[in-house]
Amino acid sequence: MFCRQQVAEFRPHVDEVKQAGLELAIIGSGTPHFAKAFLEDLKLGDLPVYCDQELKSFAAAELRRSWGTVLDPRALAKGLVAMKYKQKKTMGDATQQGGVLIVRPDGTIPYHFVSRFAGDHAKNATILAEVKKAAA
Amino acid sequence: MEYAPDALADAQLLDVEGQPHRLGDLWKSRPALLMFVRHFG
Repeated sequence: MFCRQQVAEFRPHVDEVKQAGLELAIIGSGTPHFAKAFLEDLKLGDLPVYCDQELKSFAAAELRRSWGTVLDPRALAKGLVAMKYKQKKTMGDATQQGGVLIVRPDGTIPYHFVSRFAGDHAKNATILAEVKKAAA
Repeated sequence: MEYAPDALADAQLLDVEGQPHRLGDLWKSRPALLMFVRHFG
């Protein structure tokens, strides 16, 4: 449900990212079939969703992966808030956490958020502020 | 300043149609926002 919450709550801001001139990629650990179902279920339209079942990009982005990040008490508290985004069958790696990066054409990373536990998401206001800085 | 490692740029991802894409191609000409989600559940 955390992944649903994260994407559904960011969806209204996608146009701001496009207008700022940034490319957008939403990357998950499931299969293309599951990604397509995810898009359709959440009515996300043509959001650019990609799949990395081998988790190589997650590892390269230094994102956390462990049962400890799932069982963290803070994840349970976040779960109560996210319950309206009903959990479906886990379609990917349950122990893999997410994050947000901005990468410039010169390869620099001006923004790098690493989720510490399940449900630990970057604030959309922070992401959008960083998007504007990267576009400047 | 932190730099994207080659392993990130060279990562091969599939789109929803199963077509492969090199992640680094996204930021070739303009900045890219990468949002990693846990899974698609």
